[in-house]
Amino acid sequence: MEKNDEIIRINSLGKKYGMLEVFKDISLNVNRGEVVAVLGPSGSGKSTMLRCINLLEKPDSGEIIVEGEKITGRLSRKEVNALRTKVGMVFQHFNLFPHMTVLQNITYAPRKVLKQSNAEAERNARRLLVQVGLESKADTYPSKISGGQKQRVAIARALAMNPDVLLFDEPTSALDPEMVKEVLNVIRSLADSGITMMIVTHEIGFAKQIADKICFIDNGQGTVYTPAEEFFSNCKSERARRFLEQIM
Amino acid sequence: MNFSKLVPYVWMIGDGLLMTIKLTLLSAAFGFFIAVILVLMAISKKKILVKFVEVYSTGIRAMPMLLQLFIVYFAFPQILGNMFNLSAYSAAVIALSFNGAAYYAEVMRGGIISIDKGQKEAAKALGMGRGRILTGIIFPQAMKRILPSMLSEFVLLFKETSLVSQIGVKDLFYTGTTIGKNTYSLFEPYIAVAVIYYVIVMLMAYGTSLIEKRLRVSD
Repeated sequence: MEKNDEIIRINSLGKKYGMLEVFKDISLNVNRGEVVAVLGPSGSGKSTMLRCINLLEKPDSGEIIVEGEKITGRLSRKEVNALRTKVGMVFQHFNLFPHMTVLQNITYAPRKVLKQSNAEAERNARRLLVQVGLESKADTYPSKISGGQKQRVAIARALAMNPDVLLFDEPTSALDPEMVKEVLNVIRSLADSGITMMIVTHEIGFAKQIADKICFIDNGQGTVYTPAEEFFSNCKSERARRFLEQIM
Repeated sequence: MNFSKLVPYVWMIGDGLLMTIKLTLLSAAFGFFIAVILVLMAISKKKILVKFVEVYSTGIRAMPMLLQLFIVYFAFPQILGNMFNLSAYSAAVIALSFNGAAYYAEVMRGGIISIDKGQKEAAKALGMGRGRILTGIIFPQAMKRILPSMLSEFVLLFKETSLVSQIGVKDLFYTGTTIGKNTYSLFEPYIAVAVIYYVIVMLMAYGTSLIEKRLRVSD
């Protein structure tokens, strides 16, 4: 895979809720195979920014280009759905479908949206379950597994669509401390395998380990640090320094 | 007290019971169908549809069922003339269906809005369209939540069908009254009819508990 192949480009993105401006000027590009960690204080709009990329939120200004196609502006429902199959998302609260088994959770969208055959979808799902270490849970319902396991299933579910980029929205924030590690390990192995991802997280140590770039959002502005070490070693911004001091 | 005088009327009671069961099943099926349409309107983004459902459902639920039955059977034909000349049976099915639909729709709407919005978001994020999200993700979960209430609506409907005797439909209750008039004793036929209602409602309750147990598999 070409490392410099650009998958996402964000140009001065802005989002408002009524009068409240969440952020107004975020610019960022994500290349194939890159891991971008999005950091910043609570309420700075990190998750909102991430959700703009698969249009779960509608940005108010600026533009987002995914694989060369501009997604901000008028899109038909079909185009929006097509975009979402290319951009996978893992949520803070997992959002597994409780009425389906683990296996069905993973195969449902590939079968119904990508029109894969049952056999193909199931084969992929079982392979992904091995990858996240949950092959024994295929026929279990989500209510019977732990939070960490749920999140690993959610990751497998997103991967089953074979997305070009995976968005993680605080994937470990809703987990008990002893389960954070198993989820981070899975994410780390994905990063090692070259999957492009953006991850909103409060796990600074983890971000430091896996991120190629840091996008620090604060006060409505986004600052990108490439390589990520820049952010941790000689960060020029006073606010970013204070943020790091507070949590490290 | 002499129940043996009911023996010649056993077939009549059977016919009455059959009519009651037929009315219940048919009205439940039509009512459910109408309710699904009402719910789709209620959760749509068109304000006028939402308002319509609101007026319909509060209106129906604020009026006595017997009055609605009389309106359909006696009042409509007076203003609409021949084109609305319904048999008592059809009028009964129509009134019971449209009445029930208002209650079922309310139960279903409650079930649908109780589903966490994360479910819809996760489905959207996987590229599913609106219809697929409703039929594959939201409805199955909502159904499970509303099933107990829907089944109790079903039991209520079974008992409520007895009102149709007032417009001359020969249901179980009507049969009881008729037998009473023929034998000059209402006690035995009414007690017999009461026991039949009781046994069937108990069977329905048992069926409900079996279904609920089955649904708890994914909890």
